[in-house]
Amino acid sequence: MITLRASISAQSLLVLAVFWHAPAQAQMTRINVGYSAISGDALPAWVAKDAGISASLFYRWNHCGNGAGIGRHADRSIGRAGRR
Amino acid sequence: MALVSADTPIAQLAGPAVVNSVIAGSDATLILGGVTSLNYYLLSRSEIKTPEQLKGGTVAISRFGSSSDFIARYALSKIGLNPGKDVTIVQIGSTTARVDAALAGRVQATVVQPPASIIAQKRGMNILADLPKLGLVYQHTAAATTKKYIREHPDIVRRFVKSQLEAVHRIYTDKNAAVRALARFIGQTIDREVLEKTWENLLSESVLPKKQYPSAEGLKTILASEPKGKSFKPEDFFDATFVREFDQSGFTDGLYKKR
Repeated sequence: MITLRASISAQSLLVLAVFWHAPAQAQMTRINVGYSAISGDALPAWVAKDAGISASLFYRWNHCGNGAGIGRHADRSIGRAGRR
Repeated sequence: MALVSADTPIAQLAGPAVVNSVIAGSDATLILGGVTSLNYYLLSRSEIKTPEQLKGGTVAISRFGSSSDFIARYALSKIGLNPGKDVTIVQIGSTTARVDAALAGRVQATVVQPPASIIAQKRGMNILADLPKLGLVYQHTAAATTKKYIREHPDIVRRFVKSQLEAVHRIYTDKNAAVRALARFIGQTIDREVLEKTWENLLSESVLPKKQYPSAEGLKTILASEPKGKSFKPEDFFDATFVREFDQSGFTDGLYKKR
């Protein structure tokens, strides 16, 4: 009986732990951010991602070429040089 | 510029891309200042050491109407050359392609920024014009979105701006984090010295302002070079609501007090 009670308590704690963290997970927002060129000028964007500065945003940086940035889906290789 | 789609609602672009887009009728707007100076160099082939020796040659840019086009014409005029008369400007494309074209002798000069400028110098190219030293205020790489996206997702834009302010603070205060990010995104094979110089190039309030207000003066510079720019004012191209919020609340200053 004690074992069953302990088991139920453990399960309750697990469920509580899962739901306790759920709001934080739900607040993470995925967002695609474009960048137009591989250069030092894009460093704030890269530091934000690399250093884990998220402000509850999950970034995916997309190379989008010169002047083609806003709103365009451009999921290209990050290794491709951009135009400026 | 392709605008208004949910896929990539925020982008880091050079000022002219946003200016041209708005002039063409879009509702694009800058939300951060990013880099507010011309962190570029006019570099020539090794045998060309003076502006006079560049006469009759060609200068590579990415494409007409781009930042590199503006920068090349500005730099050439500053060293006493008349673009289109003394030198020919040609469209070559990316930074890498331009440097390769110059090294191969297909063009005589080009304009590039760090780290490409540092690498090109190491490979023998000469600086004919050092744009940061010319002191031109210019709205260069910055984050932009659309007014529609701001109306519909103000919280996401606010969080994005906050993260960028924190990233700028990190750049100023954590060399290792900055150089590590450069290595990861520009290339692990690039010399640490080149990456460090690229980072050092940014560490100036005139280049990377800590409060990240878009540069009205820098936008004026761009508008002055646009044929249709006269009927617009700098405020037509940016929304400083979010950077102002973080400034006036003390958040931005607070980052630097904590260090």
